[in-house]
Amino acid sequence: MRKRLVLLTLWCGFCVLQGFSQTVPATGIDSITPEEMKAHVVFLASDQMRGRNTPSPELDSCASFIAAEFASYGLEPADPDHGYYQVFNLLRTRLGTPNSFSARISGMEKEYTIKNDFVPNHETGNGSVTDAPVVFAGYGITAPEYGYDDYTGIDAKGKVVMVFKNEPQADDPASAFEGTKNTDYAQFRVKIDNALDHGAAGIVFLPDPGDPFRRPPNSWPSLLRNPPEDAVPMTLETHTGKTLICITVGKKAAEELIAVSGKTVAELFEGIDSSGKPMSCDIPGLSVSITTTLKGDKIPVNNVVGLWEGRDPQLKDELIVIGGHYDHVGVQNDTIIFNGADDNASGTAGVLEIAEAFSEAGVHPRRTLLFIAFAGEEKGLYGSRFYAEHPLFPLENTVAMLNLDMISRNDSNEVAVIGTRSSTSLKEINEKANAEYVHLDLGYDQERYFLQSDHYSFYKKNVPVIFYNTRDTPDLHKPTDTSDKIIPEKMAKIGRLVFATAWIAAERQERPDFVKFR
Amino acid sequence: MKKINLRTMSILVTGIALAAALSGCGPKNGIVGDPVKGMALAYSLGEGQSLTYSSSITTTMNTEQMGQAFTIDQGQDIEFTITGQGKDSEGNYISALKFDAYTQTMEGVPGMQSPDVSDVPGHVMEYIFSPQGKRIALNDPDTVMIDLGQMNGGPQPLTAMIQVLLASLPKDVKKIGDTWTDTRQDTTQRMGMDVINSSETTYTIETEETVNGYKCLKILAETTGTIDGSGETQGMQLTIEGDVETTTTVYFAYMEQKMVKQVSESFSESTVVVSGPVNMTQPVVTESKITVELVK
Repeated sequence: MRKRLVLLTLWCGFCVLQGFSQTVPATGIDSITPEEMKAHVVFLASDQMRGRNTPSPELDSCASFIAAEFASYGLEPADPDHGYYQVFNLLRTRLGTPNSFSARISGMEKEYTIKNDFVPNHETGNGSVTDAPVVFAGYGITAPEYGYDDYTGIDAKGKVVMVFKNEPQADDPASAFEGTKNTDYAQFRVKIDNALDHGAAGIVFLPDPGDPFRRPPNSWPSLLRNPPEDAVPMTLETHTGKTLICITVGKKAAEELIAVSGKTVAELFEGIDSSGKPMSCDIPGLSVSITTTLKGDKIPVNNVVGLWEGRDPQLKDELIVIGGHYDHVGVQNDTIIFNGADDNASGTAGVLEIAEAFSEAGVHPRRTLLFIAFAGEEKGLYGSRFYAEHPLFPLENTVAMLNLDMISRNDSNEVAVIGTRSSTSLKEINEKANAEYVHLDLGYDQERYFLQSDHYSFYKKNVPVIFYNTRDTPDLHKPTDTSDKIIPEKMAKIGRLVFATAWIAAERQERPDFVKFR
Repeated sequence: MKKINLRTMSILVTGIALAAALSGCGPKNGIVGDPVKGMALAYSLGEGQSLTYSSSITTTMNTEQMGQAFTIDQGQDIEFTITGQGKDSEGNYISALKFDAYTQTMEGVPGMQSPDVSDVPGHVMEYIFSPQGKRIALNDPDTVMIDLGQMNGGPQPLTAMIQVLLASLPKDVKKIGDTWTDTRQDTTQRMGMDVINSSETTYTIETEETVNGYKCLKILAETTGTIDGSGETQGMQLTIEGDVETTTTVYFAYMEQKMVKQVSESFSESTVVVSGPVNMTQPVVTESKITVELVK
């Protein structure tokens, strides 16, 4: 009896220790095997998956496969509306007709031509404004934290606002707007939303004097002299609310329009930049008529999301994201398949194996794990950008993002760890995990790729990140990136490293620090 | 990993835009005659005679996506010597083109590295040009390659890097004050694309001027043109359209029959479309300045 009691006491003690231990469960580590890594890659990079282009039926098949794997590991569906799928839309948008822009300058009608004088923005709505009064609204920014508001002292209601691109003092390292780095206020979308908030009927983007473009920058293939038939811009739908009529004009039109105010573009630009203060004003002698027409389709695409809930009553509200993109670039001329074994069937396999390892660990970690297979990375980090803008869990509670992208090549014991400058403690955790469990050579010299994968969408939202990668190969984005070239043993080691890093980070009381370094 | 993101794509498309801009819209014809009464201008390069030039190209390329601008700066400095080796059956000069010095830089985007050009200095290739300076051939049997990196088109032959050597001269007899216009259209291969260059150049023999101790004719060439191309690069279907403006001033030593100096400034606005799976349309502005000057 006493012996039983002692054993029970020991067992309870073990459980308590286990409960707060940073010892990574061996069952989890051991469950990550080269054989399973290889099997996942062989499937995802098979010819049947036709290069997993975003969007494509084959990408959807891969999403189903990943969701089924998540389910088999016991991960919970993470999206409250769509289960294992976080659905977002891609937009294939074309210019329709009509698109026109004219101005009444001191009573004289002036017609402008599309392409040479103006282009509709991709964000524009379909519709018209007719003979609308115009107000110059500086950079179109309202930024209380920087003590700056271009809309102070003007009434934009029902008017067309003319605004500069970028933000004040963009070339000044001492600028209140974070020096020479652009803040979010420089984005078209933010300026459009702000114009909407101020009741504007339309927005005209102006080039500043230093803008290298004389004509409005054209990103509509249909405006080319010989447009390629299959070129239809595909963009990420990030905004589903109201929008307004938006165009960008070239330098000549900008000068003519601003001249009605009695000033030049340069005077207004330099006036704002030298003082750091708005110079917004009505332009009484000017009215404009604008019509923009776009036509397009929405194409739904899926991130695949699975949740492994933490056990700690408090810390389980914080989570670590482990992700990798499952798309690639598809086929060319309908015949040449870009299998994308390394890029990024390998990282997807890693995400699956790590998810399984958590389910095999025997105990949940204190923090929650969110596994995401991203779509649309090859198109412009679309899946992770969408997640970062529409997170399923608050990003302020997201303590780390570990990204696996191309983890299967180059015959050495090395893995590049990119972005570790974003967190001193996360870097230390990764090194500790490596030293204790894996013994890979960690490479820190690949920072030039920091912007080029899904972790970057999280970093931009102040989440500490590590991007695991086994460097470029001559097969990158070529039909030769095939399953026979992967090194499953190396993949398994990297998978174990990420698992161990995530485990330790999920167990620690303190969340990783975050360092904004760019 | 996303190989062609907004920034990496910007490098590729601006490289394409640059190549296209430089390829077709410089002056291709020139002048003729006694400076006052009219004279035919032609190069002369005797067998064993050498001319050494220094050449500098600076290029700034800008692109924009969703209101965010990216800038890439490129530079190329070359010192080269042309040594006459005789003429071919059509009277074109055959020469040995030796690269005495060569540097090439690229910067502006994270991940961009200047290429390794250590194989170039000392390298010799065959350069055949007409008496009017038209490039007939640039032959490099050893095919020295310069790796621009995967972001920027990968390895490219050195011959593709050599955009400007000698200025072209007119076939007809011309004199100071003459102005004439030349329209031309040709097709060149650039980064896997067939690029059609259409241009109209107005030439003026402005004056006679002494440059570096040589009596020279100063020839001004103002070109406006278009570039239209399509093809495949790195597995992507590309289309480019652009408008180019170039102003070139050539100083030609008509007595010694050699180019003393050429200065060219170019501005192009173009749009590059990547169709197919990677679907992207990107505006690009390219500004470049080229100087070629006789050293000895």
